[in-house]
Amino acid sequence: MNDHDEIRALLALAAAGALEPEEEDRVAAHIRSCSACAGEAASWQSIAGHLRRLPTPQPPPAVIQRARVMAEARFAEEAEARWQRGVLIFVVTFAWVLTIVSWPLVRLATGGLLDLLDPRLNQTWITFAGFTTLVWLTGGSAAVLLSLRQRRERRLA
Amino acid sequence: MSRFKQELRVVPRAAWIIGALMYLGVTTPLFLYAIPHDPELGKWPRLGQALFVYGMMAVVIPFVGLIGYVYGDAKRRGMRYVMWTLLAIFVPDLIGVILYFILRSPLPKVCPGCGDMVKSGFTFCPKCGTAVQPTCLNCGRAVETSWANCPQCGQKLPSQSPRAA
Amino acid sequence: MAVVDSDVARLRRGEVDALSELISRYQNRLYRYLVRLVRQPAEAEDLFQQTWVRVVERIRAFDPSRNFDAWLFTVARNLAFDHLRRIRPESLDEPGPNDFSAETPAERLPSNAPGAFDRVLERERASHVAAALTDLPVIYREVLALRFEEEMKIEEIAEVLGAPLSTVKSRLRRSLEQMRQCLDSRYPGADWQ
Repeated sequence: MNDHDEIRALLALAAAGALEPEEEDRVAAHIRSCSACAGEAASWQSIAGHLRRLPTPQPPPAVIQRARVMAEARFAEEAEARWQRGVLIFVVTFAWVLTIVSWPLVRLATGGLLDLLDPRLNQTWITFAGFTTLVWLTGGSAAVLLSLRQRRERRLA
Repeated sequence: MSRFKQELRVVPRAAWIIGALMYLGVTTPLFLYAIPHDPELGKWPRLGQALFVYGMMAVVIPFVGLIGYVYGDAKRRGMRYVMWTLLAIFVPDLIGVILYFILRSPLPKVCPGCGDMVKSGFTFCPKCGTAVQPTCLNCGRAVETSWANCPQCGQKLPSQSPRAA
Repeated sequence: MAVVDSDVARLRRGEVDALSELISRYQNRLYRYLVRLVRQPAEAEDLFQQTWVRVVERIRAFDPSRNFDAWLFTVARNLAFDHLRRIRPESLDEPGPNDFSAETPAERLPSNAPGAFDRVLERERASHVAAALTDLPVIYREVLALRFEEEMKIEEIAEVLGAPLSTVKSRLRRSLEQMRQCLDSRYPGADWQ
């Protein structure tokens, strides 16, 4: 029986149920006739059995509760961050829509005004340039002022 | 209720009414007077003019809604809602609104002691003194549960694990 | 697995109550696995909590067609190994062939006493196995826990470990052999039938 060694090498995995079907058949066939190897196989099976039946440590309910609370808090944080991002994207897009939409309306409204001042001034590009400059100036200064204020408040806090 | 609908309720009803009035108040004179007299738009078919005015001016509704949201939200967070509402209205390109969303304070918490609303940033309830955040035992400042030491006074914080070593 | 899949889908959609259902479904298995890895219940408790926070952070990047069990255990495993690397830099690698004097299977004397089980002896043996388990290197403890306690298929274990099937099998075999060696040295003369 010179495949003793080969079979012996497979016995541990056999107890773990990790053999291929052909290997299992070989092992089963061999131990039917070899009591020594059968004994070995039984030893391995015994160890495997004990491993399968190890007592399960239970998590204390306080631990589970705390894990749940922290995970739910993180979940809410992530949902909040996603929502915030969505809102900002919407507002920025809408701001562009407003700018583009207000252009013809402003032109409608001011076309008459510029005509009153001087017909030559009623050029599209003048209105556009004036409109855009005004927007960027006021918006920019508001942003700068607010950040300065915010920084001052943070330093005082 | 979806998050969106939840947030929509923050907008005061007055804002929606103002929005509707503005919409009608601006589109009607434009449609009836300004457009027919415009050198280019006057040549459009009436339906096209109507779509142009009523369609484009529809942006007024979300615009007023956003302003209303800034008003209601800043109020419930205990911020200076008048200032923020004015900024939202008068700073062009909705930059005021964008700044608001970036800079707004967190929502106030419910005090576990008296049930009153406590502004964010506060560690103790102004009414009953109950702590609304975990605090350092040494200096009383607010700390987070995951920290090992207090960032204000350096005190070692107790371990949170139920099985203390 | 269908119930778990629907919970995972709900969690990805943003329903927070799916989270506590998932936690209750996996709490015992996850905790048991972590205890096997780090051996200290207090550390396992911390890791248990960190695992679920990490699950929440990464659930949207999780491909729902994959096996959630294997993914969950992989997350736990990564956290546990990071922890072990920091706290107890015991050897996290597999012992080399010369690290211990392993007899080849053929050299071991075959036991030839097919004795019947005694109940007291059975309990004793069970506690011996449990004690010997803690002596093994973490790599071996892990694969034994996954195969025998969690009853994972070899393919699932391979996914959790991020290793090929052949590595899993050889590691399983070597861990059993070292377990047996450990038992023989701790309790010499014990009858393993």
